[in-house]
Amino acid sequence: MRYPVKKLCSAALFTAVSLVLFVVESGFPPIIPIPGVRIGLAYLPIMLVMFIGGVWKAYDAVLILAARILLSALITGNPTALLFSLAGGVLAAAVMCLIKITVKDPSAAIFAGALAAVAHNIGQLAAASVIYGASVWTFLPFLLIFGIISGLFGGIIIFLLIRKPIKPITMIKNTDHRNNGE
Amino acid sequence: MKQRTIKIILALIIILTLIAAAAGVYFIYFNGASTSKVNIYSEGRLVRSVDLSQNESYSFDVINSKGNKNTVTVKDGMISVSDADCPDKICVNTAGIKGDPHPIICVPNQLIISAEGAYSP
Repeated sequence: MRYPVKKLCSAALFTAVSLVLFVVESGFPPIIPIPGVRIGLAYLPIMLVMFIGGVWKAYDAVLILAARILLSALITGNPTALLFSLAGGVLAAAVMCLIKITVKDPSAAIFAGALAAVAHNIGQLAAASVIYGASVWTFLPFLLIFGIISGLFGGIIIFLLIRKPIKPITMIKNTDHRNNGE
Repeated sequence: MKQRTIKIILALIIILTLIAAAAGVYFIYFNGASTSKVNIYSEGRLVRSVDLSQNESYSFDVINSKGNKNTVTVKDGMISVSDADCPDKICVNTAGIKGDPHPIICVPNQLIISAEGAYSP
């Protein structure tokens, strides 16, 4: 598969941004005393890539998400957490792709934000329930409420970014068509 | 299908999930049967059972086979992890159990504190 160098560099940059947001977010004090509640900042670059259009296709976002999850395991050094976020990430990516296919305008980001958060939480708890037994499902209602709220805000941020063709976003959108070298 | 229909369906799914989650919170945490007996599992084995109805205050250490330590505190009928040597401290930040069905889990030290009947290894 041909993967243009400029696009590859941008993809690496998005992975790095997502990874940094993941680390920053880990430093926040817990909002409520339930494990697994996160704002989901690390999903913002992935959602941007997913819904920006132009040269960026859905599989780019999925690849960046996969790279981010595997690299974040190196930072936290926790193989169990890797399993949880991998299960959540697979479901979230599937839901985002589905919404990208069905909804054709920028508002897709808002729906995808909320529903990907729901999918992530369900996947996460499915993996956790295999290890710890079914009692972890009692966390689900809390995770869903906070997941939907933070996912909606994340989706609105992405929606506002991609709604109008502002210059920096257009530059990212057409990464490998501009000044493509000699 | 029309774009409009798809969007309405998606919005409905989001709203229904929110309502279901709110109902779940209500039923699990404000309407659920409360238990007073709490079991502590380390590495999948039952190491101690605590009766919360006796209103005592004490704390003890749970040490696993790798020598990792979690300090468990019982106070005012509530059990929580007050200190741990794990890197993420999620167990310390989890709310204490006071008859709620949710478990306290320390992933790195393989410690599970769970109400009687809610978990069996």
